[in-house]
Amino acid sequence: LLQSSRVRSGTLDIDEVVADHGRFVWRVLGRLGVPSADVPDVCQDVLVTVCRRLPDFDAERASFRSWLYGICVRTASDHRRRLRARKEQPVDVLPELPLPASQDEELERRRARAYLEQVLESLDEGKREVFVLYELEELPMAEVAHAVGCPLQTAYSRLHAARKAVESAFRRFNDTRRCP
Amino acid sequence: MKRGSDPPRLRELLRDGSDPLGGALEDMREEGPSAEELRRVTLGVRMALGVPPAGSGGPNGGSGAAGSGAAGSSSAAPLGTAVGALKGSAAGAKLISSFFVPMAAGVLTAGAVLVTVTTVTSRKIAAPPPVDVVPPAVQAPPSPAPLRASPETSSAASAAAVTSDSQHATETPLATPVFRRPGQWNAAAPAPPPSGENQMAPLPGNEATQPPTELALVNEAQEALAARDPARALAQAREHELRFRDGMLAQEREVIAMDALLRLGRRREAESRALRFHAQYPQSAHGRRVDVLLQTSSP
Repeated sequence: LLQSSRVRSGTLDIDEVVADHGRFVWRVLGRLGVPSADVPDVCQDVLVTVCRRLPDFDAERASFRSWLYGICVRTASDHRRRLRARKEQPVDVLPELPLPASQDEELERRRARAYLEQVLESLDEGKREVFVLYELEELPMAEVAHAVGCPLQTAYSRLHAARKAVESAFRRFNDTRRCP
Repeated sequence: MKRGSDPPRLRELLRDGSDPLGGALEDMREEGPSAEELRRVTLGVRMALGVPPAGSGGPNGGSGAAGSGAAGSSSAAPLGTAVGALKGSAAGAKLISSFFVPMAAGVLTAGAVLVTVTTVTSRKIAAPPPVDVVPPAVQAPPSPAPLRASPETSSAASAAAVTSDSQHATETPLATPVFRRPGQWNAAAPAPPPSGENQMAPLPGNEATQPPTELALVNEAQEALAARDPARALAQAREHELRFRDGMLAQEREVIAMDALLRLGRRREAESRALRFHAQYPQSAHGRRVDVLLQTSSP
């Protein structure tokens, strides 16, 4: 992460910002439901916002990471809302479920990965955000709560609900896999 | 941070690797942009903030010798100055338009890395750039790259920076690359609905309930390639294309088809297929593989 001294001094090198955070931002956006075709653009938006708002960042109030994820969460949410408003679906091909079974381990893994994406898509926004930040980005819950802007207890209950939904979806996935 | 009270993560609970959810979580965790995609984002961010790309030494900045002279100084300059240097400059305009040619972008950013290393510099982002960044005459040529920092959006974004520091300052219209299914592609071969009439060998254990799957077709095509039988691989890819033109594994099929065509010495067909591939799947994870295929099998 960006050195805190640099953050505090309100100066930065754009290349460095992208090198340090671009990968995280890109991944988080995809997992938060930004269609993969839009991820580069939205990633750019987030990083531009980061560069512009860096002087506002207050290291006393939040970790840099949760601040950054907060920006991702809000930008992704805005983007999805705009997409819904335009009723556009610029997504890559989504697999149709239930998918046929396969003996091929690699394809099977990809199938599970694609399925997870669909399951995340089916979660409501708040649950999805908490799940992504905790389970995939592995932020501590306190930072998750800060990033999504909810009380810690709410974040816990969203995580619990999201896990339940994901696990039950994957139980069904496993069932279709085992019963040809 | 109350780290101690956090529950163990699912990934840790499913660590044995046999659980599909555990595997999917692992896979999703590892995903990320390619270096080239990150470079494009860097360029886009720079353009949106009105900072010329590092290494933009001049109109011929793509020459690879971009790490010196004007490039170094503009990279080290505060935002306002750097933008000023670009403003109204025909050279700058030419230069910017060249960034949107993906090939040029690759070479340029290679230079950019050098410059950044040598000029570890601090730019004050707090200083808002002037609004009129780029002469309006500049037009970004069409590019498969979804980079959004066209001169119009660039100046609009700068305007937003001046007028608002809100979280969502970048409310510029999104030139979203809408996924298209080109009608002309395979117009003569409409994909029939997958049905039981397929003659491909069904997967073991699937005989009764499952129609022949696109997985099976792509698998067989892949196996044919591995068995050095590009003609069969191509035939399988065609079969898949007929049945599942826009299927879940359409991208994989295309990569196999290109590989097979190249092995058959049908380079021109492979190249035109690659062009279509990039146009249809600009963000594909296989994009680089396609490029590498074409590069490594040069005649």
